Amino acid sequence: MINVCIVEDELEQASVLKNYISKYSSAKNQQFNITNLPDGIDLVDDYKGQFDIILLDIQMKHLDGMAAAEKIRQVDSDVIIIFITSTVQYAVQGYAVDALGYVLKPVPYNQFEQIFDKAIVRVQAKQQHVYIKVAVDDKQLKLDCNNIIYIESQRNNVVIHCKDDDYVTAGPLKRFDEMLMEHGFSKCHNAYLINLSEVEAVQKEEVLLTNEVMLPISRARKKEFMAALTEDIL
Amino acid sequence: MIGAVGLMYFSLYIVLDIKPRDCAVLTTHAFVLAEFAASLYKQLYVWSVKITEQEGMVESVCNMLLVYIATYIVYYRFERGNVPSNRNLNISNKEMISVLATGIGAFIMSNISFVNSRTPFSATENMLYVRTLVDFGGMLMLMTEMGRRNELALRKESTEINQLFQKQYEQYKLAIDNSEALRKEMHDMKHYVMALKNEDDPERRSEVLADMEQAIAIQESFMNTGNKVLDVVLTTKSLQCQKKNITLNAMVDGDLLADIHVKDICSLFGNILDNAIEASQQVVDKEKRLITLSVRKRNQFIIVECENYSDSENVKLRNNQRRSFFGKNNLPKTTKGDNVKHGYGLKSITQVAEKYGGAMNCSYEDGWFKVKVLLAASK
Repeated sequence: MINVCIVEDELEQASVLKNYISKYSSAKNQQFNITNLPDGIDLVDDYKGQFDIILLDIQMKHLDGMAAAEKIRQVDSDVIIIFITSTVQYAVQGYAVDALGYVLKPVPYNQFEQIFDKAIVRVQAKQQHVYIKVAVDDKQLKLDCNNIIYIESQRNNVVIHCKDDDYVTAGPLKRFDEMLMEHGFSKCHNAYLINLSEVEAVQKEEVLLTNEVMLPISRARKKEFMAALTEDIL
Repeated sequence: MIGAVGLMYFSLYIVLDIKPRDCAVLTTHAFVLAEFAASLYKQLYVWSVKITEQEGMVESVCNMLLVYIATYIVYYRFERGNVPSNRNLNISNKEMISVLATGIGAFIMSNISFVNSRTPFSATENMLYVRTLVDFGGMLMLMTEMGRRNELALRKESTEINQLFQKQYEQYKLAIDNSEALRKEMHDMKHYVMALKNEDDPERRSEVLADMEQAIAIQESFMNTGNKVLDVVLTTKSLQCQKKNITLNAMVDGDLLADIHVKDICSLFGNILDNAIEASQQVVDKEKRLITLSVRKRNQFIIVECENYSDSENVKLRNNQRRSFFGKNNLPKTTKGDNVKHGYGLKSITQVAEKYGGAMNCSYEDGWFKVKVLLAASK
């Protein structure tokens, strides 16, 4: 179930969007819970992060879409914002509030579908958790992949560096590589397997991670690593 | 012998999936190599029999394996760089004839002694040695020729990419002039309004209004991204889009591009949008002619992403796969007939990406063609 909020003062436009969502819902077999608000002020007033996607009109009476988006971003950096607008002028600047994109009124269905597809992919990526089972000191642990920053190979063992703690388990690293390749991990070096969403920057021969650890990139792997990173980054 | 060559040709043709003329050239290379390996083996074997005085099936096979493996490995090392793996050689008829002549010449010269020992080119004593030598010479000639050809092709490619850069840059300069003209137009608009106020004739009136409408349409597509160069590129391209009924949606943070050289911005966005426009205008359903462009920052990367709807005939998918990825050496092939002159757009996008410590990839899924470029953002 995905929670969508339509913030739009024109009733006609709002019902067009609602129809689109239900059309999308039956086409893609995805359930939606739709809320409809008439103004930006209604959205901001009691916002508790209850929505996954917000469709936001830019021109509104009391609080315009861009200002509403700014306020929302202060409390929720995750929610997906899509602008519905009749002028391009402001929408181009949507990156300032990290909007996913915009569509121009009157909205054609296929444009709506394209941007909604993208939004759904992101919502699902967030909702979906991949776990791996590892044996640490005779105990079976279930680790959330989103929590892993990188995995390091040390002789016969591997060290799993997570956001909260490090875990040592039996290797080889290859086993993890095969398991996690599909889930946004890539090797920058024979000894390191990195969670690509934790990459902060890539310098000439090093990768900087979000936890400020610096790891070497081997020349042989650089091309493949950069390709994986380009594909994975949102 | 002819059967063996024919078999070589067909197996190469089927396995490599290449043009007939290219295949003829590769077959000649393979044939001369095989001749050389065989004669080298024969010579060494005869010599080793003389030295050790041992003769038999086992020694012969061992000798053969050793000589063949060594020859092929050495040859592979030398010739590997000469034959591009991802592209047709586009051999011309003339080139093919010269290669074939070299191959056939080497074959005749090396084997003539076996047929008739009384020609001026026959050797009687060092028959085996002469044969090896001639084959070696032939092989060397073919390799040098291919190497030279390859070098020329590379040089030509880089000039062509440079020309493309230049073209984009000139377009940009042209566009600057355009935007100057636009500013004047805005100024004139004031006069239009004044004229309208004082005009009573309805025909004159609608004429002035039509003029104004045109001017506004151009002005509207003007973008304001925070990067002057990008503004100009986007304006020019969005005018093109307007003419071709393509919707261009852009969400662009131009400030991010401050450290990227003007030429690179022109080339990057010019090529990306040119490709997208080219593909979109072929879509029959005008509703589906849509391009979305975004430039944003994630961690210390700038991400440039462009998507356009494209009919699947233009993107050749193998075995009905739903989604396809194009890696660095596996760029989508140009849809234009001549693959020598076209197909550089994506290459120069890759060049820019790599210049700024990033990478590029393309993918095609559910009718949407996507180009994603990663650039390292300076702090």
